[in-house]
Amino acid sequence: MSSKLQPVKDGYRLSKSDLYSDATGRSAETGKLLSYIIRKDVCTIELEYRGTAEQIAEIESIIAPVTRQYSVEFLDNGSYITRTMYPSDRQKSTSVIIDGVPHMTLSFSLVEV
Amino acid sequence: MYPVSQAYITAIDTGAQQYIRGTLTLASGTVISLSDDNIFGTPRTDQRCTSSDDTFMFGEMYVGTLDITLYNITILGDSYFHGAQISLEVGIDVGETDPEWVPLGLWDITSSEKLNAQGQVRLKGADRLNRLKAAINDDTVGVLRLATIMEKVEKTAFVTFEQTPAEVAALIGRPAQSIQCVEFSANCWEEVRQIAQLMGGFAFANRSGKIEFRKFGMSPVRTVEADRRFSLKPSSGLYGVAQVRYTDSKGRFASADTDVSGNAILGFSCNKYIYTGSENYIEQYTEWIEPIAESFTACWHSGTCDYYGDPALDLGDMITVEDGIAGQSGMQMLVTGLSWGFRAPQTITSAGLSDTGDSTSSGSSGSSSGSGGSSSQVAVPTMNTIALDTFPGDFEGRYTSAEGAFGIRQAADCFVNIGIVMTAEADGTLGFRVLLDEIAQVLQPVQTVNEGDTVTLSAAVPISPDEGKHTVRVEVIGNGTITEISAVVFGQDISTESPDIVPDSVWTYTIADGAATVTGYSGESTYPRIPDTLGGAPVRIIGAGTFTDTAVRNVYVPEGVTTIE
Repeated sequence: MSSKLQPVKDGYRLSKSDLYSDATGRSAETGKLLSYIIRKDVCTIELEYRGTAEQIAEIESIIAPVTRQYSVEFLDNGSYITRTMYPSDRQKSTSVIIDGVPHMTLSFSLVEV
Repeated sequence: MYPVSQAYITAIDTGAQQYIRGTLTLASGTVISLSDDNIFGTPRTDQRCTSSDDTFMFGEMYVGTLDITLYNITILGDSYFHGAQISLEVGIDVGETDPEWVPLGLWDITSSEKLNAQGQVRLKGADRLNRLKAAINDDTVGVLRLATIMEKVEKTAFVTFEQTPAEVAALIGRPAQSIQCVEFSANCWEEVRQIAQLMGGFAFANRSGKIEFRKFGMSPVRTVEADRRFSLKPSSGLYGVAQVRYTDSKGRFASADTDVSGNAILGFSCNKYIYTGSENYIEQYTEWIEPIAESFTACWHSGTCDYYGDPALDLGDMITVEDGIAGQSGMQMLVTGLSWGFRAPQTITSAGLSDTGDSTSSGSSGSSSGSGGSSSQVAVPTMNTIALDTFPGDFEGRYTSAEGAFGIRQAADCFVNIGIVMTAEADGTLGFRVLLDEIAQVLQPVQTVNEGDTVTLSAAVPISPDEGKHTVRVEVIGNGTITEISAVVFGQDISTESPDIVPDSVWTYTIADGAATVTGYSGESTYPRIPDTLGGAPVRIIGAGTFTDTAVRNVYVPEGVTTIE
């Protein structure tokens, strides 16, 4: 995404979730869950970058607008897989000041379409 | 219950993923495939064979309905869905490459509602039972056999029966030739309802859209475990039918006992197939109801059950519901109502009997059932559609873009639905007009266009044909190219016109070099079929002026004709 910066975290956090129909609910008799699966293994990747305001702005411009979709290749269970994802949940914070220049942290997640 | 594999039942019981697919067939013949990509939300179907939760009677029929929302559908004109039909299948992931597919049914589209401009549309449908509301106009005198009646219903209501007359007679438990009456009922619905009464069952539109007679299932086909239910609401009481009773129009009745130790009497009255003018009516009536009493051995609980769902369940099935009542291992429910939703709970209703224990109120007037009193009914007239032949392509000036013929049994208001997408070849105007029997109908506004513009013209043009055969032609006017066109006639009691086979004597012809040339016609048919051969020679030429001063509107030209002068 940007050759200038590497993610601050060592690696990334990958989560998988399943999507269920609105009609999914618990039995009124036994309390057990009765689920209607719509889709399985929808991936989300969380990433975090740190840099100067300019560098962070550059990354932010790449992942905006949010309607943009990317083909993302990532490691999962020892092999690379490719999924179409969109960026979401962007958060910025001022973390440290180095040589009088404030450095910022940008975290965002890539969510499978 | 639709036949399914053991893997399917296991998959249903463990909550496997469900898929849906189907086809939408428009009146014009266009077929649109439906899948998860263009079916939105939760399509829902509803079927029932009793009028309410506490009424159970023989011969009950209710029109099944469908409610579905589609998107990514390109809609060509306001009347795009007139005469369309939709079929759906549900797939259950059974661990194989492909899901196991179960057909759900076939519905005629009765209403469409555009939800936005991006091709999202909500459709409502009614199953083929709805077509049985067609009236029967027939004064045939004499005895009508079961086969004749079923054939009449099929032709009048444009439906097909799943069973043959012999199979229906077997369900009734009598020889086919003994099932007869002396006149047709007012409509097809009443005919089918009375036949269903004779077997102590009901009629419904099955998964392939055919009208099927069915007796109620007497043994469970499915077990619904407590863990697979959202809720269960059993009503009080276990129902058992101890006696079946038939009452005639004079109040005389006969009854036959069942093998069940219940206390309910179930019956029907005033069935035109059960006829006797003699004094020994009891013997006659008992003969009809004994087969019903022998086969009706069920005891069941009434109530409703919100189940995880099994699309393979049918109306009339018996199911076992586990742990239904505290202290009991299970209870049986008779499926008399099924409301199924994709990826949503399925509501199963099991009707009970009225408090009096005697439900002999199912009169021949059909006030409670024949007219379909349920609020879920979709009351629409039976509309038929005839697609016209269409001719997309380049045109300049007046150009016949669609034409066809149809027949109608009595004068009625009909419509010609047209949707045309065309591109202008030059600046000017583009328009169209509809001609019924070569007479222009209501004028349609023309559209001013610039060269290269693409316009969509659509309209439902009213026409009022008299009884008989008619031709319809759609003429476009201007200079352009038609890229897409649909043209359909829809109305009550219309049918595709087929050419009449007329005797050879009405044709005058000459034979030269082993080939016949037709030169004249003196028949009465307005749509004659020119024979393949005349005087032993193949017809090759249709001479100039052959149909001058005749009433002919259409001609069927056989293969082999090389020249029309």
